[in-house]
Amino acid sequence: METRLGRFGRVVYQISDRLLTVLALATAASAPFYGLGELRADLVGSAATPPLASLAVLCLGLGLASRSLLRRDFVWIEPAKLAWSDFTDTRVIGIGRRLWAVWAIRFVVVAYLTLAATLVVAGSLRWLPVGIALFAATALLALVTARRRPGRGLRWVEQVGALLFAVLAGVLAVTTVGLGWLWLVVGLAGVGVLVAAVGSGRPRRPRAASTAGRAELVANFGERLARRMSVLFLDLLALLPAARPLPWPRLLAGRAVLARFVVAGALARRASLVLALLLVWAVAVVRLVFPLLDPVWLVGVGAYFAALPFAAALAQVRRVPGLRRWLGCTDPELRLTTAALVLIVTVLWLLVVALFGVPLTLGTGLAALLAAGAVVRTVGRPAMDYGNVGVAVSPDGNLVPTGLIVQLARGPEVLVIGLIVAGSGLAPGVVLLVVLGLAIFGTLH
Amino acid sequence: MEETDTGLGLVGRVLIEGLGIAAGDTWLFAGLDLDLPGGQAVALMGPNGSGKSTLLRCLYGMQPPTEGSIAVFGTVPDERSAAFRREVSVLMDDSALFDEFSPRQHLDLLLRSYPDAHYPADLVADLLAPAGLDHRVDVPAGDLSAGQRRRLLLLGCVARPHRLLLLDEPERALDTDGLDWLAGLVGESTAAGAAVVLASHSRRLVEACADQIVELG
Repeated sequence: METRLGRFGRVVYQISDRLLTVLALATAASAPFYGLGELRADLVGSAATPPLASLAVLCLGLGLASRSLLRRDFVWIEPAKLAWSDFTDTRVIGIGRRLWAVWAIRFVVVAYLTLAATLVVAGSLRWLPVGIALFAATALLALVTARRRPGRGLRWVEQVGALLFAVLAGVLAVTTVGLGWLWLVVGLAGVGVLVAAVGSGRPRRPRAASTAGRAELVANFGERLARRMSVLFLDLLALLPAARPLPWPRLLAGRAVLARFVVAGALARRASLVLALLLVWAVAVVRLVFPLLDPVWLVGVGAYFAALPFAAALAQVRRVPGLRRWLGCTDPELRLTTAALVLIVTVLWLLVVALFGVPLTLGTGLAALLAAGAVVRTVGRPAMDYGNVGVAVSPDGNLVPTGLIVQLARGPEVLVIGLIVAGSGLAPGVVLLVVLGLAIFGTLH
Repeated sequence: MEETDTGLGLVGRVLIEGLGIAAGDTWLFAGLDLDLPGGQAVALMGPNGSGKSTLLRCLYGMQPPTEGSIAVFGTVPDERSAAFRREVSVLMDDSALFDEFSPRQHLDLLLRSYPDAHYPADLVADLLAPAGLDHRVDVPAGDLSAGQRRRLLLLGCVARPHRLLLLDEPERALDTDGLDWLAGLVGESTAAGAAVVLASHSRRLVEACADQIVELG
């Protein structure tokens, strides 16, 4: 039997553990507010920022948070609970509570990022009333919409809605329009809340939860478990989006089947196009709000994350030997074909970003090329080898799995080294040679 | 595939000499000899844990034997070699399907990417219909039943060019008709000159298609 002292000790331990976590998070979150002057000098300098820069950051955050919430991955139940304690009505109410939590976390983060951007930019605060109204209306709209169970068509409308907020962010970042029409957007969002509220279920019983069947709950739980395990074991390639069936039955029937396979892999992940477009807006807005940030870095990192999901087919066959056997080609053939597709994606992405003010220079072009090489190196790496954890002790006494981190860095390291060289001010010929070498290395190794 | 004389003799056959495999301190089997020429099938039988799947993994070069030697067409098996993989077709526990691709798309991918593969005049009538998949030609593999997925995996193994076919419990999830169809597939493979090694618990399947039986355990 557990003694009172034992129980007390356990409670104290849990409280202190949580307190430490909260303190660590609070310290990390407050870091940008120390030395604001230096941060401002590094990111903004003496350049003129758009008058509504902070509002643009807010809109971008609202778009990303809404899109993330509308995936509805909060609708899950542990299969063991379904088997052993699913005899009352707690299933729906529990999911409803979870929705509140995930919604609050997302929009608190948006508020935090807007506050941080506002302090760094130190611009006018005349947007504050409309900004608060827009934040409240959009957060409510996202909450009410997430409670609904939309059909396939409406899901696309939701995604487009999230994208529109990102577009709004871009407009705000490049124009000096008056704030009056933004109240119209707030009004429209308010009307959207009222419309979406119809059919969203009773307050404690969101329709997305009450209409979810056992198969959906278990499938979502499985996906969540896979994501958590991937993060826990640093196997981040498992987080790449799964492929969806293609509506073209004869897509692989014809010549150049390897190219067809790689293209099919990208088309099967067509939902990632929304993320790629959001990244376009994110890079454009960040570039305008923080003009001293090097566009070469913005393009390199943005293109890498935009193109990564479209190369997931290579990761799929590298991770599962049984899938690789369906392809009779060699590994270099597969890598080169994937590289060609990824390069097309990164170059197209760069051209779209260039439409929104990011300069089209040798540096940004090389960044797109580097991103393609880094993507192929990332998705072409073998499955994580947990026999090579390589634990080392850090100076502050923590155990660090250096072996796993080295494996994880395979791909991004090519990008980072290349971007450092590209931004180093070396002669263009030297930069070109180094970046080309790194991109080829990334593709073939 | 470059054929090297390993000192074990002919290059047109699978030769096993004095093979022993231990799992920890326990020997699964030892002193196994086998001579399997092309055009013949051998069945591995025995209780669970007797080493059937392990022997198949050794034949595919996924793990080395504890003692003895294996030569597949004159070479030491090594699945890391692309040339070796092109000679040897396998159905193992790690065999998988692209959930997003249909049976037609799987076979298009397989038969158009393997050099020297024969693409049939009518994919559905010649391959998918005999497998009982003609009414599921364009259904994503993720939506097929366990038996239908198994049939597609088996079809993939046999449809591509191969000189050696390794099958680990191929009868799993198949119904009675499926067993007959599978025996026919193995027969077609041996008739085309391939050597076949299958690990199985189905006496009916083994009797229908094996020229030799090796009892393990």
